[in-house]
Amino acid sequence: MIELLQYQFIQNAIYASLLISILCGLVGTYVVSRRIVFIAGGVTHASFGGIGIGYFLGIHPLWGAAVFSTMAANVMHYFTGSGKLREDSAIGILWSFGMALGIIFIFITPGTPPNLMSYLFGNLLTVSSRELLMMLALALIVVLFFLFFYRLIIAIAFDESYAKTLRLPVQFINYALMTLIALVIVITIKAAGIILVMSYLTIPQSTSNLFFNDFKRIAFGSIVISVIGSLIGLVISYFLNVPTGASVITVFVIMFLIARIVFGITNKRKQRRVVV
Amino acid sequence: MAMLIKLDHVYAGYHDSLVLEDVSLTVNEHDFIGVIGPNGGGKTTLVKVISGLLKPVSGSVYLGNELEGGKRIGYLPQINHFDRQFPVTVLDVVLSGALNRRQWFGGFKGEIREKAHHLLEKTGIKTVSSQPIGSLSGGQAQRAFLCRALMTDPLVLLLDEPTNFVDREFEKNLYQLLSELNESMAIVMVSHDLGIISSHVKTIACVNKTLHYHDGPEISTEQLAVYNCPIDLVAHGPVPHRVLKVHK
Repeated sequence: MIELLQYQFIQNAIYASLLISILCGLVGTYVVSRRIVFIAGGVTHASFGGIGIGYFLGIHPLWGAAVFSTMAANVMHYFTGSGKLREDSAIGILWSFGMALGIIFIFITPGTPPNLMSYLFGNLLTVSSRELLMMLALALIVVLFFLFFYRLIIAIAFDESYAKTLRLPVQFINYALMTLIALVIVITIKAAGIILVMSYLTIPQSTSNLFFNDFKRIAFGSIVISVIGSLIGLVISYFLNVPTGASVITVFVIMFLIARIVFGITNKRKQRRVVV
Repeated sequence: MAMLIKLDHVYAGYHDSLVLEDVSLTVNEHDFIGVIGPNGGGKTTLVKVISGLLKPVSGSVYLGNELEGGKRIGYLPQINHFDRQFPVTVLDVVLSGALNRRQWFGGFKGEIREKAHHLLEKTGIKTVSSQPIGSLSGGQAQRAFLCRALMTDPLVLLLDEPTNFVDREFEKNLYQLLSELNESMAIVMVSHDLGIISSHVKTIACVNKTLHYHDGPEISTEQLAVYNCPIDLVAHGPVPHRVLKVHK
């Protein structure tokens, strides 16, 4: 197994797992805490439109996706509080419209069509060094943002109207976070694919949430869980020769189930102790 | 007595419907105003306008010099909904009350933490300060939100139905605490409980789309009728009549 580490693509996959775990650990904890998982799902699928446009224009598809999803995320957020359109309907519209645009642009682009499967399901083993750099840059931005604005983020996420009475920059933080969520989703698509991104944003967080009740701890716990799950998934995918995204997610779910059972048992013991 | 907040011919509402019409009210230092009125009469809307959460459609809200920028207005919202699963501790909720435009990054200074602990102790929820907010009972959560509102040393404290969830035992302490606080801050308290209102507040504002200000803590049923302020006295049985007249 040690000799595997000599391969550049394996090294890249490990670094990518680490960076994506940090990104999704932080952003995912926010998404889960704030109950905007469905918005994140909408942004993920809408980003396919950006991928298609990127192909058509001949730029790196992730750039197209970054611009397009950032717009989609902020439009969805705008409708969330406006009362002009039902929030879930707005998400549904952008969700399918993004997918439709993606397919149209990929079909009208001359030449051989790209491998759609790689965007739908992702592949940790094909992360390029350039993409790693993009992940590293984004990880720096996200970590610094959360460190710097942590108190504000929590206060606003927990009670937005109270934050407004304190005259805190509520809209700035909300839109900045929607933008970061969109960018994190786009970069994670490379590893997990459009269909599986949600797992990185929700499963480690839900597992961590079983043990912790504080944002910081949940975020930290989900980063650790995500790194461990990704590495185990990577090894399994290599030996069983199955797609990495799917194997990582299966490991995430198994970890969640084990944690749930362990948590259930210790909880019962605690309760019994109280009764006795 | 210095003027703190003045509402001048304010019209306010949501979307296309006006909830408040031509409302004028002045909050001075040391005021303790009880806000009463029927459900849907605009009590909460009034509090939102005073707090700055809701901009009036027309009319104006003047803030006294010391309140410039809306700092130092403490607001205890009605807690019929907050996300009980949100991962935040009671202490962090209280501390968040100290955030403002200038102070929001990094940690909190020792003195701010001390103040938070002091308030938690005073309201009797210090023992649960490191628990998640969702694990608290309605009354305890209400107290935590009161602590949060007091973190800025407000000059005006707005309370929207503060006794809704508070247990009987703490209710007495709450009024004791409020009258202590009233020495250093004006209090505007919304309540549907006329009995409580008349035995604790100094003046009464009756809100039913328009606002009638009573310069004293008592109102009689006759007055209510004159002002077209249909408080549901029936629901309280004979009690409000008795309580209202005790002070006379």
